[in-house]
Amino acid sequence: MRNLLVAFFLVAAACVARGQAPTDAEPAAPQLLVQKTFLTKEPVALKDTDIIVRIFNIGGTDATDVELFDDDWSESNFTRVQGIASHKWDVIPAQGSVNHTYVVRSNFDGIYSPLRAHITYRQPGLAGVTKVVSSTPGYVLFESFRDFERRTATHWREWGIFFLLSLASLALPTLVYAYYQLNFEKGVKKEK
Amino acid sequence: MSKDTKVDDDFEAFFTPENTTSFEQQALYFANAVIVALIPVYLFYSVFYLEFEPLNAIFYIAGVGASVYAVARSYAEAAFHKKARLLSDRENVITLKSVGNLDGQKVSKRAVVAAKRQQQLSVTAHESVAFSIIFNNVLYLGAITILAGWLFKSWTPLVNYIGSTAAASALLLFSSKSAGKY
Repeated sequence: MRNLLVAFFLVAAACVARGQAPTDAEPAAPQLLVQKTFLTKEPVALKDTDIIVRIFNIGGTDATDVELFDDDWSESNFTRVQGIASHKWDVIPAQGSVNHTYVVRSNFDGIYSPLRAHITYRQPGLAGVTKVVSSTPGYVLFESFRDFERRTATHWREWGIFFLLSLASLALPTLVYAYYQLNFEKGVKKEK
Repeated sequence: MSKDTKVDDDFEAFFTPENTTSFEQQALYFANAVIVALIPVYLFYSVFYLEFEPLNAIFYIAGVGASVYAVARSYAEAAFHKKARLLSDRENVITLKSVGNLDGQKVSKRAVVAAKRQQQLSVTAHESVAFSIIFNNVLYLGAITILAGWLFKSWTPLVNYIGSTAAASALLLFSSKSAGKY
């Protein structure tokens, strides 16, 4: 009886240990986190603005057939300057990341709320595609070009013209004063 | 009373400056003041983008008007004080003794001295006006440059314009009386 109880407890302990041991038979599925943000810190209307989409695979397996769709930046408000807002990757390895950048130019100034980008990918063992959306930078202020110029430009040419105008206002009285200084002494004409 | 003393007393009137300006001087002061008052308008329009919108136009007109008044008034004040200072320095330059021998000439020494003093007065007046314009233009435009370009630069353009022109005009009015010291 005693031997039977000991054998029972040994088998039970073995079962518990086996249940707590990590198994590497089923690795974690791929999981994509997507960040969409501005590389340009202060977006300005009528100037190039850099956009970056970062995709992180925090899962345990590779994500395959990854596709990025970003249908933001309507043509009425923006001009595509460089790159395209969609892209494909054959695979994003586990614990890996990829970046995608493109350039747009705003045709208006004011507050804009960028839309989220859409990403689809395949997971091993699943027939369909998995869809995720990116984060969004929230409301973004596109500063007017005029305000940007007023704040940052040096305006050397305009200051130069201002100084020339100032000197021009002094030219004639200076000539008159110099004439009297050179040709008269204490109000009396100098005799040559 | 000796003859020389009587002659000198008669001529004292030439060296008693009166704070009056002729019409030609007033026109000259006004024309110069308008030019000087418009130069900051270009600065604020081109550098600070203060557009000619209705609200801004009102303040532009008011600012130019106030500046023209202050600058023209300062011209007159500075010219008067400068002229007084110069005349006091030149009081004893032309005397009967300084006129040479007039033997053989029909004009009297008194007439020669009067003519020379009249010319001296005219030259002194012109010198004073020229100096006054130089002094006030340099002071006004220099003050505008420092105030608008550095001290009030972070203010909104309209407030910057109002502050700069008001302060520069006030500086001119307060300093015009000291122009005679230079």
